[in-house]
Amino acid sequence: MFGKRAVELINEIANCTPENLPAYNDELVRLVIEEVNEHYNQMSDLVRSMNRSGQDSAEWGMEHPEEASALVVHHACILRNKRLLMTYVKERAERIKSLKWSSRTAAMSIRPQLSATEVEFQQAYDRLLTKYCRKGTGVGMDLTLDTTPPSDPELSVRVRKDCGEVVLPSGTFFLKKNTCHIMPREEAEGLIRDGYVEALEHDNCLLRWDT
Amino acid sequence: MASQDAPGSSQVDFANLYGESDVSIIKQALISEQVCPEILQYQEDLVQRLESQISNQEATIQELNKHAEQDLLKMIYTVEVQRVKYSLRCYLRARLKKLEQHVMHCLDDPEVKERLSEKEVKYAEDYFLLLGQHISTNVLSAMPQDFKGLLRQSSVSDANDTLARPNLDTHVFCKVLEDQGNVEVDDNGDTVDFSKDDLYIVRYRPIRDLVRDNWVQLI
Repeated sequence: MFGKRAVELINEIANCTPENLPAYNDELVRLVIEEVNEHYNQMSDLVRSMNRSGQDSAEWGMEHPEEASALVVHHACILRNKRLLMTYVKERAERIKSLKWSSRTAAMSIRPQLSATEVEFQQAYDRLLTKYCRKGTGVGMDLTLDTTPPSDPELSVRVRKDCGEVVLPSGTFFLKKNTCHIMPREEAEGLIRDGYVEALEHDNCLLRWDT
Repeated sequence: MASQDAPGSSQVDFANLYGESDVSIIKQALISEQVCPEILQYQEDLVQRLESQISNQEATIQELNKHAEQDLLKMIYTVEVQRVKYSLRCYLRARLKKLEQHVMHCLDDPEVKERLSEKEVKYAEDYFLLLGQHISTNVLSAMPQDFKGLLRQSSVSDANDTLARPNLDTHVFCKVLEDQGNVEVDDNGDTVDFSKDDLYIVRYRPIRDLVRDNWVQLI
């Protein structure tokens, strides 16, 4: 059936939970594009035979109802396949983007599932957002932080991975595995998201991001 | 300690500092932005005022660091400033999200583009280029001639017909701030009496202008 392959592509994403992404289906995309080109060839043949007849399109359509309807169907199939392919690529891009907003470790772990162009897109989006968050070129605040309404100004955290000395705006912390620290919430959030530390209190929102 | 400060002392009174209004305005702006289907006018002055107030408050906190006995006050100030920062970030985030969602529409319609801040326009342009290029290399470049357009389904389409536009006919909750008399709420000419403090669930489109002119508040 026409257009069935492209629907399979969409289903692949639809059947996947929002924070996951199936591997980029190169093969199927190629097949859909082949299908589009086949439709296009058939359509061009029909257009050529119409032009050869020397009649205008309405007249030709009256005389050759079968060819005329084939022409319409081929055209509709191209549009449909194009739309589905665009949706496939766009939806994947949306998910790659949303990872940037939620968890940096997950953004890395998804890499093997992406195509080369998608990795490029991920990096470019990263740069774009960083630029918008920076002072001068943007708003001067890291918008990816602070995603939940703040309660306490400080947070106790436990270190999950050795990361040596870390210099933060509020001071220097020596983050050795399993030690506990109290640090400003704002600064802790970045570390939590990167999976270096975990929040000790159940702050109902600042849990570990990467599990 | 804080309460004992005489008026005119070097302590900054943060009720004045923020002026009750600015914090409540950003709160309302945030709510409106989150529930409204289309992107609203960027509150440039408000954001600037808040930014300078935040940096003032942060300077005050730095100052307080030197006095150990002022810890409680420092904590109160810190929480205050964090809350305001949170609202501000949320506001910008909500806008950015809508901007990305309807990036082509925002750039295509000059009236919508007017509502964005300078930086948002730049961001939208860069983002549109990025996404457009991504889709082009993956899909459009492989499409046959006449079907390569990003904004048009095919070269015979009359207008830019792949543009996603926000759905203005979705329903919103709103509160009437001033008496409005009868307001037409659908295409059949049915009207509803909007009087002060009424709450309604209505389609967004008919009350669009009222929201813009601040007669009706989205909640």
